[in-house]
Amino acid sequence: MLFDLTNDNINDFINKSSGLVLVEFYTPTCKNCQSLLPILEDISDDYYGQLKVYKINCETEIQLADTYDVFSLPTTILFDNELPLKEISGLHSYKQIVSWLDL
Amino acid sequence: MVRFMIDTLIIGVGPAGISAAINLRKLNRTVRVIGKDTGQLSSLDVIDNLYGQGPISGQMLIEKGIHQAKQLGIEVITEIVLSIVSNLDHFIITTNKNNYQSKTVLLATGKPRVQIDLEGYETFKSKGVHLCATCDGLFYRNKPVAIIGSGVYLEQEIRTLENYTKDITIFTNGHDYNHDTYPTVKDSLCAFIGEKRLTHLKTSKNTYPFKGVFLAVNHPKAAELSLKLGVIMTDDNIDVDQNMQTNIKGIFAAGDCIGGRLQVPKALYNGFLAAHGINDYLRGREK
Repeated sequence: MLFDLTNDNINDFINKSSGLVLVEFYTPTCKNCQSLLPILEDISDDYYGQLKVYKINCETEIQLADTYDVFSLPTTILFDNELPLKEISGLHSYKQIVSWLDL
Repeated sequence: MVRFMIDTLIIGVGPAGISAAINLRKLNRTVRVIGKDTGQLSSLDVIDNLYGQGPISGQMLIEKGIHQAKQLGIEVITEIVLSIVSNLDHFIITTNKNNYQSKTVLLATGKPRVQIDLEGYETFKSKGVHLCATCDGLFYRNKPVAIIGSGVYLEQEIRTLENYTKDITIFTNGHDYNHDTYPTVKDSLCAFIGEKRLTHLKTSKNTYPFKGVFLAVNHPKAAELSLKLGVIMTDDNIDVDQNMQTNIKGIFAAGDCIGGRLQVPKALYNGFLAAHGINDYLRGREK
């Protein structure tokens, strides 16, 4: 299970010294989001030490979705320390996500 | 009305769907095939690379296939599939006429085509242009949205969108269609306009400010059905394993919608593999 970031705790996990952090913006009702979660869990395991992976529930954290300009689900953003580096929208295979990450 | 549970519901009456149906029937499985039309193949002139079959028109080949399936006692019906929803250990398939229950579903819908050929579509896809009200509706809570379409699929998407906003305008793109509740604009559509995000929808007569436009054109295609189920696709093709199963347990795919060579023999083989994949899956569940 990926850990849920909220408006209250996000600064503890995405900040100047957090390194590479991958975040999926999802909702519990979006099927594509649900399919992407296990793929990102695998990436979290396989790339342990290189990047951390979290999720944000847009149903409850609409403000965070707004902050990061998320208007379509799922959207996955890669942060380098506190700055968004790049984003990918939609459901993709493990292979495609890894090639997009380009670690 | 909800029909009794069957083993496999197949969507698509082309070579992949019918081949799977026939092979599943041979494995003593209960199947039902639903198709809206004969798809890509009917427009082709002549098929001349099939074993044991001389040159034959695409339309004729499809009809022969359907006839053969019906002779085996397989129900082949002409309805439009609007949604597939997973429900515990089975799926509920809603068409324009009925609800069906099935333990597995085979997507054999043919090549997913582009939803709409409008300037700016690729640029603003998921930047204001959306294919799934269930996924993206919440970003437009109480905000004005446009929805493109006309017919039963449109009405289904509106029912989802209504949970988020009542400020809905329908664009029929030239079709003569009226909705009981929401205003309709019947002009032909010209372009999606914006900078980083969509800001306007341009028709032949006017430009309308909209930050969100949802698509529900004609009937849901393989890509839209997959999207709403959470099926993984790569470049518009559905990803399957060696048993033709997608990442969603119980959902299989075969034929042109999984990519590769868009040829009848390949679709037939896909259908054969899917039938055996489905049979193995059901046997695993029955243990």
